[in-house]
Amino acid sequence: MGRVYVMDIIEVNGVKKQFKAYESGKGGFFSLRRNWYYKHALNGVNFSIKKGEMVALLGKNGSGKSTLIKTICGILHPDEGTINVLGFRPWEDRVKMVKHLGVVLGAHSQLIWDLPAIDSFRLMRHVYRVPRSAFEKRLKYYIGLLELEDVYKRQVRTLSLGEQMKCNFVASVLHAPEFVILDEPTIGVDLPSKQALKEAISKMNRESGVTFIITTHMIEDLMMAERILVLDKGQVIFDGPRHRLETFFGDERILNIKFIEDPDYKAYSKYGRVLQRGENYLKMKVKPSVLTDKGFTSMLSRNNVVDYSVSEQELGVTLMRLYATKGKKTAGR
Amino acid sequence: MEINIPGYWATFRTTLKAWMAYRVDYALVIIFKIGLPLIMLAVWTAVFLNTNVLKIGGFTLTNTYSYFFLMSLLSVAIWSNIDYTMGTDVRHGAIVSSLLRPLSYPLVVLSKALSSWVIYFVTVAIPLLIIMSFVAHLAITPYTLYLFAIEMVLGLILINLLAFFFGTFAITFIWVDPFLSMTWTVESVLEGSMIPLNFFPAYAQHILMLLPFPILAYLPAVTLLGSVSSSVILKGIYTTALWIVVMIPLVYLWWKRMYKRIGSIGG
Repeated sequence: MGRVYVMDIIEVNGVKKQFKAYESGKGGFFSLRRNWYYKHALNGVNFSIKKGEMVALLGKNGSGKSTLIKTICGILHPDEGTINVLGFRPWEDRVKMVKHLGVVLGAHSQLIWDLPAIDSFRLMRHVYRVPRSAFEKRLKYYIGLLELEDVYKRQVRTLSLGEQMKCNFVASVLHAPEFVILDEPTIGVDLPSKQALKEAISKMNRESGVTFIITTHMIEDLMMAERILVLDKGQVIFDGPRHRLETFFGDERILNIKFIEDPDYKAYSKYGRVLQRGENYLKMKVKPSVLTDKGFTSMLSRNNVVDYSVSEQELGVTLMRLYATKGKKTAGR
Repeated sequence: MEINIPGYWATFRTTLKAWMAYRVDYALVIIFKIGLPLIMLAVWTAVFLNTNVLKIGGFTLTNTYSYFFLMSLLSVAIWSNIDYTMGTDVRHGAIVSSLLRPLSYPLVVLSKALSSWVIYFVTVAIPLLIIMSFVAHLAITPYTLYLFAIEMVLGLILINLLAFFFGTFAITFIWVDPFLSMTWTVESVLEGSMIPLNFFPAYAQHILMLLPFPILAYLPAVTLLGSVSSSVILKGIYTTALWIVVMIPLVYLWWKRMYKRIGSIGG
């Protein structure tokens, strides 16, 4: 069957996947007993991704992210629903489809443990049939970019976690894939390399139109993505632009104020919610309009105020609240 | 379906290289492989001496020595570690990394198994065959070598099919080492590497020869020993060929079924 896709390179419709798992019974001898149950890893997932998008896939541990990725890659068969990736049905056309994919899964290395990383790179060259000149050029580029000059000829088992992650990334993109899935790509990676890795990802996305799905628990990594998809208990509980997630629980600012002496806190509390009150200090959450309110700005300009700063609501805090509400609300597209 | 030959060839070569990463361990395995038949020789010497017979199942003590040296050779000439590789792949989640590559998983594990096979064949089987051709009473003629080569090819195909079939059980049961040990033991009885098949009663021999296992040890051994007629050997070859023809589609369909059952292991 030929590939059929126009703009949406991934379409996931009503995908469900459950696993049989067990819990140990009560202690003592009876702990040998197993209480079997079905875990609903994916519970009706729907979304689509357009070519060239960079999407961050978020979710707590056990929310179904890895299962979703493995299903998209054709490793797992969904129990229900359909998936179309680059015009292929993943679990039927896996071999053809993964030629166009680059995947870094944190728990599943592409590197050969007993050999130097360069051997894994060479294996990838043959597996993906990359011409030698293109291979050498790309290898040189990524090795320079990620400072792997002293690393890639060493046995993988002697490399640090960060070095392995960087080599894994290189192994996954040497064939210049159209679509890349990165599971925790910056875990264990040092700061300069993390920055270089993020720049490389952005450049691939910007200049070559490579589509990315990035799963991460690091807020700074989220900033690469314009679109956020949040999974919880196997369901999409948020799908939309990052700025919409940032303001999902209302567009609010965090205000930190330092005083010479304790002010009339009640007067401040009329303008927003007090988060923290200390000695000559106040932290509060306010709506953006408050910051231009004449009454409020005049209070801030009084002599009693030593200093103040305004920051946006932290994305991490918003995510925590989103997880806490567990999909009672959904937003985005 | 287009077969990615460069991909499988690279997998074969890389596995070969990975095997060589631990040279001391590898040397110890070779010594063990060559030393193992000495234990069998001690056992059968004791059997002959205590029973005071000159022949058992038509074999003299010298024939028995030759037979078990041949078994040592055949254990590295016709073998496969696909089942073990699959068990490890599933338990450690490495099957996920394999499935992310544009290669067929059965052909990947076959490439890896052939890589391991080449190492043992070159470093153990060929030297043993050369040594044995001088010290043992082998019926080496162009015709027996021709039959032996056919048996080896058929045996290799069959053992890989069987090992792949047993390896798929890892997808359901995850830890299959005890199960695999059991299959190896049963195989070693049915193929005649533990006890020569002509030691069994006639009716049992007749049944065993209809099974796919004799090609894995008994038939190639008696071919080189020249202890059975060509018609028996040819019948065994045809029977094996038939088994292979039947097993290839069955194992393929079985794999398609088991592939759907691959679960989420290791995140």
